[in-house]
Amino acid sequence: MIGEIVMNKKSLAKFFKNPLNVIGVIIVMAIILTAVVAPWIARADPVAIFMSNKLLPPGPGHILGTDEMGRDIFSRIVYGARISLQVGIEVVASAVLIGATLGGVSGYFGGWIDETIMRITDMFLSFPSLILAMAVAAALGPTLTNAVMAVSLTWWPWYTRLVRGQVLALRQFEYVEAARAIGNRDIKIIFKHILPNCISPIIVQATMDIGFAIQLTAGLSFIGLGAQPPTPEWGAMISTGRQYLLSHWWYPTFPGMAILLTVLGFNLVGDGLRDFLDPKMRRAD
Amino acid sequence: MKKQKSLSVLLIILLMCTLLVGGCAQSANKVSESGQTANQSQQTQKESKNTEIKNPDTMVIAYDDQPTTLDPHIAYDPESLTAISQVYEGLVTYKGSSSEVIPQLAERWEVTDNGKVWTFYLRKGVKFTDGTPFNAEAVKISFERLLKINQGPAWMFDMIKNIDAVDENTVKFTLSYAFVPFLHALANPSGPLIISPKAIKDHEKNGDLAQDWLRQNMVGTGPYKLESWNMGQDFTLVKNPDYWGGWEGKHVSKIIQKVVQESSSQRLMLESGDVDFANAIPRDVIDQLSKNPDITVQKNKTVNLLNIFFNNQRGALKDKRVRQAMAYGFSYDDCINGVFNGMGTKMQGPLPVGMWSHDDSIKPYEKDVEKAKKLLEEAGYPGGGGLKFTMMVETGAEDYKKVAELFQSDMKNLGIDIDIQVLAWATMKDLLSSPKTAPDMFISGFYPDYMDPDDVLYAMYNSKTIGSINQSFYINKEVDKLLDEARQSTDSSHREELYKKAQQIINEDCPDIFILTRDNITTMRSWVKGFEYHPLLVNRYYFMYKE
Repeated sequence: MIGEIVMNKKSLAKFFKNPLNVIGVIIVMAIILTAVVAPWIARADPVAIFMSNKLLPPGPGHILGTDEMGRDIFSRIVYGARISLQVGIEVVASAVLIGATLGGVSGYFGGWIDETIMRITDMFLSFPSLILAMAVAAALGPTLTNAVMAVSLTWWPWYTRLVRGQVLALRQFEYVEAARAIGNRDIKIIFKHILPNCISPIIVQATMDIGFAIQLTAGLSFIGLGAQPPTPEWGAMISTGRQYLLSHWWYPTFPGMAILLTVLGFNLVGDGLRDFLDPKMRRAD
Repeated sequence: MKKQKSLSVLLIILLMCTLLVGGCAQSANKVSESGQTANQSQQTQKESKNTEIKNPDTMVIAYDDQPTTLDPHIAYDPESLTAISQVYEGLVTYKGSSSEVIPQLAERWEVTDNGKVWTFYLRKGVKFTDGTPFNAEAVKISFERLLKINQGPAWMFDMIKNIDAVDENTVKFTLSYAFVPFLHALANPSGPLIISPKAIKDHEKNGDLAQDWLRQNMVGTGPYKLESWNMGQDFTLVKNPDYWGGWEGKHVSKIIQKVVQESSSQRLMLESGDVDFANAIPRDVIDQLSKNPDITVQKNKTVNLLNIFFNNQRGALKDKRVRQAMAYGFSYDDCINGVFNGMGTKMQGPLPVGMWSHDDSIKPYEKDVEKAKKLLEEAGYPGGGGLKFTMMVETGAEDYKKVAELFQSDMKNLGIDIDIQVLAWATMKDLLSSPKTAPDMFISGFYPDYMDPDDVLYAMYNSKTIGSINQSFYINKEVDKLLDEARQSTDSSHREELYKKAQQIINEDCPDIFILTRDNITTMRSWVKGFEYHPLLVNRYYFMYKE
C-alpha cells in the first residue's frame, strides 16, 4: 500500500504519457503561479475605481477590458485566482481534517460510535450540497469566510465515508493487530498506522474537490451569499457582469472562463492521479 | 477511461465555443460602431420587417419583480401600484403630466376658510365591478379602513379627524389641523383609493378588514379588472366594460404584467416586440437601444431622491463634522456621470431642485478632500483615525451597490473603512425601525408621494417620523418646530420661508449625503401611443393604445 505513493521514474513517465494529465498539470501550475505572482502580472489595482474608464472593451491598457466601475478585469481575475485557490484549499483541507478524523474513529471502533457518526453523515448527505450551503451561508451572514465554512460543512461527510471504508479494510491487517498487541493506544494506531495508509484515495479525491469547491463557492458568491464588494471574486464578477452579457460580452465571459479552466484543470489532474495512484479506484466504466 | 476522455474533450470544445462566440460578438460590435451607413440600412430593413404590431389589443409590460400585494391601502411599491392604479380610483387625480389636480370620483369640492373641513361632491351612477354602487358610504368605509390598517401610505392621512357621509353623494372630511397639501395627498396613487364596501364586508375574516382576500383580489371602479395572477409569472387585467369613463376612442382591452428578472431577457423581448414596456434596462445599454427606431426611450426629470443615510445616533456619526467630512469626500460627478450615465440632477440641499420652496441659495457639498481631512482632524480622527462603518445595500439594487462601492473607495482615501453588506429589503426594513439595530449607514431612494416639501422634509427629518421614514434618526428641535409650523400654516409665503430655513439647517447638519434625483427612463415600443409621464403617478394604460 505504502509503495503506491512512492513515485518512481517509470510511473511518473506513465503519468505524463496521457496528454490530458499534461494539460491538467499545466493549467493548475499556471493558476498557482498566477496567484503567487499576482502583483507582478497585474499592474492595475483590482479595486481602484476609475469611473471615466468604465466598460472599455479589451484592448491595449486593459487586455480584458474594464468593468462597470472602470476597474481592470484582467487584474481582478488575477487577484481572484488568489481568492479562489485559497477558498478551494481551505474548504478541502477542513473537509479532510474533519472527515478523516471522524472516518478513522468510526471505522476503527465500529459499533455504536460507527452507527452514530454514519447516521450524522447520512443526514448531511441527504441534502443537496448547494441547498445546504445556501442555507448555512444565509444563516451566518453573507461574507466569504462564512461561505467557506458553509461549503466545508457540506463536504466533510464524503471524506468520512471514504476514509471509513478504507479503515474497515485496513484494521484487519496483521500489522494493526501487532501494533495493538504491543500495547499502543487506539489514537496512536489510528493516526500513525491506519490513516497514513488511506492517503492516496484522499489525495485523489481532494485534488478533484478543489475545483468543485471553487465552483460551489463561486456559486454562493453569484447569488450574493459569498464575497462582498469590492472583493475581486470570480462568481461575484459574473453575477454583476451577467446583465452586460449582450452589450459588453467581455465582462462576464472572462471570469467565467477562469472558473471553467480552474475546475477543468483540477479535474484532469485528479483523474490522472487516480489512475496513477490507485488503479483500483477507477470507475467501473 | 474512454468516457472520461470524451467528457474532457467535450469541455474543451465548449471552451473553444465560448472563445468563438466572444470573438464574434466583438466583431459585430465593431461593425455597428464603425460603419454608420451599414447600421442605418440594417435598421431600415428591420423597420420594414417589424411594422406589424404584435398583440395589438394587449399591453404587455415586463417587470423585474411582481406585485407584493394588491391591497391599495397597503401597497407602496411601483410593481404593486402599477397593477392597482389600473383598477382602483381615488376622489381626485392629476391631469396628464401636470401637477394640476382634477376630479376623478369626485366631481367638485369645497374647503372652508380655516382649511380644516373639505367637502367632496361625488360622481353619480358609478358602480364597482361587483355591481355595488359607489357612494359617500363607500368613501367613508375605505378611508376608515386605510387609517385602521395604518401601514405604508396611511401616514399621509393621519390628520383626518372624522369622515361624514352627509348624503348619498356628499362626503365631508374634518381635519385635526389645516393640512395644506391635503388635495395633493388625495391625488397620489398610494393609499386614498376606494374599494367596494361589499367586498370588504363579505371577505372579512376575524376583523382583518378583508386584508387576506384583498391581497390577491381587486374590486374597484377603474377601467380594468383582475383576470388572473400567477404568482411569480404574470398578472392579467381585462377591461371593465361598464367603466364610467366609457370606451370610446382608442384603448387596449387587456394588460399583461410579466415577471422578467434578467435585464438582458427584458431587452431581447422588447427588441422582438414581445413586450411593449420593459422596466429594468440598465443605463449602460440605453444609448445603444435608443438607436433602434422600433424602440422609444424617454427620459424625464423626477423628484426621486437617492441619499446615503447616516445613523445620526451611532458613535462617531453623532459628530456633525464626521458626517460633513464624508459628504465632502464623495465623488458626486463620478457618481452622476459614471453610475447614472449623467441621467440625473445633483441635489442642492435636502429638497429636490424644482420642488416648490426649494432654497436656491444653498451651497451643496462638493468633493473637497482637503476640507474633509481637516474636518476629520478637528473631530479627533486625524487621517481617518481607524473609523470603520458598516453600510447596507438592498439585494438586487445594482445602482445602489455601485454607489456603495464608489463611496467605499472614496472613503478609503480619507482613511475610513467601509464594510458593504448586501441584504434583502425586508430584513433591512426591520433593522431600520430603531437606531439601536440600524446599520451605521445605508443607501436608499425616496419617492415623494405628493409635490410638496412637507412630503420630503417632514417625512424624512422630523423626529416624529423616527421609526417610519426618518431612517437617519435625525433629531433637531429647531427643525421640528419649523416643519410642524409649516405643515399647519395656510399662508404659502410664510410656509416657503419656514421651509427655506429648515433646508439651511438640515443642509448644515448633514444628516445624510444628498446625492441626486434620478431621471426616469421609460423604454417602450414605438408603436405605443398616448404615453404621458407623470412624476408622481404610475403609468395608466387606459390612456394608451398601439398603432
